[in-house]
Amino acid sequence: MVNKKLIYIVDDVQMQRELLADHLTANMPAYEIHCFSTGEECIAAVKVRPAEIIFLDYNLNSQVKDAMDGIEALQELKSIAPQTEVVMISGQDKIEVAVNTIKHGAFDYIVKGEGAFVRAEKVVFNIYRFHKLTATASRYKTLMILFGIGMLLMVILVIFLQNNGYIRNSPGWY
Amino acid sequence: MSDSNKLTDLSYLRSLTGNANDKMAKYIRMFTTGAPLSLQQIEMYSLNKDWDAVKQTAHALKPQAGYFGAKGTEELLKEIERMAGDKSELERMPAAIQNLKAQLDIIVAELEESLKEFDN
Repeated sequence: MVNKKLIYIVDDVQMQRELLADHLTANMPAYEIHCFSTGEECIAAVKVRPAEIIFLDYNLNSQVKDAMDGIEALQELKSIAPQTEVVMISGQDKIEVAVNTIKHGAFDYIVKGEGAFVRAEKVVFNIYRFHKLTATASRYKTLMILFGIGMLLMVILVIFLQNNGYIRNSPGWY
Repeated sequence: MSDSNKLTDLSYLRSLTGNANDKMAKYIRMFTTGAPLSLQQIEMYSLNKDWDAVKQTAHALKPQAGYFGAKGTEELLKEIERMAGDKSELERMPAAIQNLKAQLDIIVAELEESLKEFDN
């Protein structure tokens, strides 16, 4: 059985989370999708099985007044699973709200409404590409470090050979 | 009622669900049961002058109205959310809520009518 990557959707409005879940399930079969109505439920799930991506509603307390709000849930999620990318979703199109969520570690911000579902799909693709590029950059970094160490060892070896008379300080090295 | 006089337009929801009857019926039922409850909450919070709660509830209902093509209702909810959030023009709130109630009654009736098509 292929292990699918996980996406969690957190929204206190049932229609909102199910529409997004249905859309992503239909268009992104490589992902397994789970829905939660509160940030607290999602945090408990992440502790057991971290997701690759979490779509998190900004206003999580419209139904349950003392529920954790989106920013609190974002902070907690990033502290327990820093590798998980969190995408905030909100009905507010205010730029300061978007900036605030990015400051707190969100990968992106989506405004609810027409077009939000297609945008969510694009964000999943962007996260996939970002992770792939990060992994490639990390591999190149490791290669560069190994190359640097190799060069350093070569210089040390040449200095050692020179100091002990095995090679001369002149062209030809005979 | 002709389609042009309707408050709702299901074309966006159709495209979102791939025109699947079971999904259309599921989302219509969610709205026709959930929206009247949200309206009751808005009325109750407004009577208690709990403007933050009015704002939150209107905010949550707003995109749902949009998914059913009820653009006028979406705008009205945006206005209620703004008045409650800024705590301004609150004298207009009762009329706005009455207007919302009237629009939701029509929307729910239209959606229940369209359910017949998707339940077949």
